[in-house]
Amino acid sequence: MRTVSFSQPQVQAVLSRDFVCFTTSTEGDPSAGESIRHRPSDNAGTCLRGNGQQNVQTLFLTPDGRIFHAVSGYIAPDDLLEELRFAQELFAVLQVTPQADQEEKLKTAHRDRLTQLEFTPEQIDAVGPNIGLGMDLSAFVPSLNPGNPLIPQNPRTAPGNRPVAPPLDPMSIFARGQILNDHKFCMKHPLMPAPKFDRDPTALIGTGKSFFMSSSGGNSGR
Amino acid sequence: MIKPSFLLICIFILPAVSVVAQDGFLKFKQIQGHALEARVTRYDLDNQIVTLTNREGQEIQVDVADLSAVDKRLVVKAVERQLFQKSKARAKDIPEAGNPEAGNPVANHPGVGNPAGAVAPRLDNRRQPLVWSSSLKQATAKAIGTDALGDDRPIVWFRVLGDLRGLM
Repeated sequence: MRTVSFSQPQVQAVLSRDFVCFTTSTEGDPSAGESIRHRPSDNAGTCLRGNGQQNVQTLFLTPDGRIFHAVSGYIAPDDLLEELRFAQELFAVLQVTPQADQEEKLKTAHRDRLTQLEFTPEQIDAVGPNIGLGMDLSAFVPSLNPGNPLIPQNPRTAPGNRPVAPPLDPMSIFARGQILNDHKFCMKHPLMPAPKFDRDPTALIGTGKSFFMSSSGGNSGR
Repeated sequence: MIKPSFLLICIFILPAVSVVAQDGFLKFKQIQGHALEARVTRYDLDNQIVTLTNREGQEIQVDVADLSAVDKRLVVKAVERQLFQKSKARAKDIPEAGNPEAGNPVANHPGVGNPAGAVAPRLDNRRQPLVWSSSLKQATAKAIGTDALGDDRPIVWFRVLGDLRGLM
């Protein structure tokens, strides 16, 4: 993200102008993932939206430090700009909403966003493990998750063996699962204080261990 | 969190909101016992007081609790739309990512409604090193009243394994 997303002038411009940027390291935190270390000058590897959710979280806070939007894992420049726009609009709404109504307003806004992104009510309301948490690859396999509405149960063939559906794309399922998970976190924990999240971020990132390395192989030294 | 002064500035500087009338005047059903066409010129969120200005320029202060549900909705929508317009105006300033050839409207964009006619800080496509706050306390202190209009800004917190400025 540092090499690709933060180096984009457009991203830098918006972050500098419209947001206060704040960073902390999760080094030593038991919830953190693992990584082969790399320098800012190392080549960037190919990453998927939401990859490395234990390593990177992008959280949008009110000026008094409450989380109103969250994005876990890697996010490419175009997607980051889109999330920044969404966060700006959501923040504008919160500014004119009395405090007592803000949580409900936030839940509605995140649900509307998921609907706009073509998630179904069944997917939004589904209870149970989310795709991507803990990098559980079994979650990608429809035959192992026959009742999970988060997993598309697209038949490969119709009666008569006519092909009807494109092959499942596990990567896009993973990315959409992460997006769904991020918004559901915000709906379930609206306006969570940042220090509380910092103490226990597992509601967003689960308890797995994601692993990151650059295509250059990184740098194991300090 | 919100400052009434910001709302006032927004209302004066942004294009007129047309909820009912084309010139930005809203048709309230009942203000102090009468129908009224007026603009929302101030909204005190803390005290829930809205200031309306009628076509003659007279100001009327109304407790939001005294408004009918319809009129209350009108006020909320008006303020909300004005803030959305501000947000969208900013979004338009953002060149499409991955298309650096598209130019940068921000660089030539006058200060959005700055009453003093000042020009907003120019942003261009040169790399601008991000300024990072290193603690939540520092970030919250910087978030209040610091945007181009003197309003609050949201905070974006990058919680990462490593140091964004060094090894990670």
